[in-house]
Order: sequence, then structure tokens, then C-alpha cells
Amino acid sequence: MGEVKMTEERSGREAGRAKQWRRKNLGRLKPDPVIEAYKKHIDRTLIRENLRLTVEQRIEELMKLQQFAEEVRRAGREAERP
Amino acid sequence: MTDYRKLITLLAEAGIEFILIGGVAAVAHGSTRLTKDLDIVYQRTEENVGRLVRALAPYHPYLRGAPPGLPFEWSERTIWNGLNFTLTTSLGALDLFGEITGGGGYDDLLPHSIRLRLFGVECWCLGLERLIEVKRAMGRPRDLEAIAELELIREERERRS
Repeated sequence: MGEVKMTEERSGREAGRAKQWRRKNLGRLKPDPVIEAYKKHIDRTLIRENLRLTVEQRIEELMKLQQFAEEVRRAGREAERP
Repeated sequence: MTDYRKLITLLAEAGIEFILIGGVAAVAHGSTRLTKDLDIVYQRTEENVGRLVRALAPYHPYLRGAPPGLPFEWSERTIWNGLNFTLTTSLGALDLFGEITGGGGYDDLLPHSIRLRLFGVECWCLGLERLIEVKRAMGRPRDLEAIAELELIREERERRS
């Protein structure tokens, strides 16, 4: 009896997991080994930090970064001048 | 430098039907990568094209990277005669897409988009899953790292939920 209950519980858990898996993976593209290789070199801590921001803050940060990159480029051009 | 705030509010306040895609959409989802232009898919209807042309006209749209002095005319006729436009404006670089590889046009992408409220306006942004799919469909080597980051963002979100 206990075994039957356990089996039912297990099959219930498995069905739940299968449902979760289907919801997560159905229609999703298969992992690409090249992309998987690229993932190893990405800093997840920066992603986590960014996910704490609001969408508006993320775009504001992008503009600041763009401004900074522009400034560095300008300085580089200036330094190259004889 | 592209003024994303002004461009997005301009498009939204003019009532233009558009969806944010590309680098800015990726940033909205949590990407840390630098992008230099605003990419949007616009709806190709008579009213929308009219609104788009009128809203951008004061900002002098011109073909980005093209030599100055070409007989480029920013008009509804130009939009109907073309599909995708890589523009420079006085607010910055703006890419207009009538259709994108692997994604189709505005109506195809809308069901896969999310509504964003930013800078006091509302606009559509391509959802993370579809953004990954279209970037993978484009098959550009320069996108590989961006796709990897987007997939990590998805994993991170799933881990949190």
C-alpha cells in the first residue's frame, strides 16, 4: 500500500517535472555548442547586477556608457595628433 | 551619441506603432553590452508611415554612412519604396525595419512583445525568447556573444523564479 502511494507520489512529481520541462523547453531552440562556448567567457555577476535595475535605469546606464566611450575615443584621437 | 530617451519618447508620443528590437531591446532585458543605435520594427500601414515621416522630419533623417548631398528624400513615398532604413538623425542613429530575418514584420512580432513603461511613455519591446530566436536566425558571427549573454539572462531569470 505504502509502495503504491509512493509510486503515485513519484509519478505525480515526475509529471510535474515533465510539465515544467515542457513549459520551459517547448518551442525553444536547441542549445548551440558555439553559443555555449561563448557563455563561459561572460561575467554573470554583471548580468545579475543589471537585472536588479529597472528597464529605464538600464537604458540610462547605456547612455552613460555611450558617453564615456565617446569621451575615451575623443581623448584617443587627441593623443594621436602630432 | 544616440539620445535613446528622446527618440523613444518622440516615437511613442507621436503615436507610432513600433517595437524595440536589437541592442536596446537586449539592454531592456538586462544586457550589459554597448549599442550605438536604436533599432525598431515599424508597422507598415498608411497612417503609421505618415506619423513616422512627420515625427522624424524635424530631425533631418539621412542615410547613415552615405556621402552627403545624395537626393535622399525623407517622405512616405521613400518608405513605401523601401523596407528597412539605416538612418542618422539629429537625435542619433536610428534603424527602421519593415521586416526582420526570422521574425517578420510588426504584426508577426507583436504577440511576442512585452509592453514597457519608460521615460514616461509606453512602448513595445520584443520579448527575450523571440529576441534570441531572431538573433540566432540572422546568423551573424558578431551576434554570437550577444546571444550567449541573452541566453544567460534567460537562465538567470529562470533560476530566480
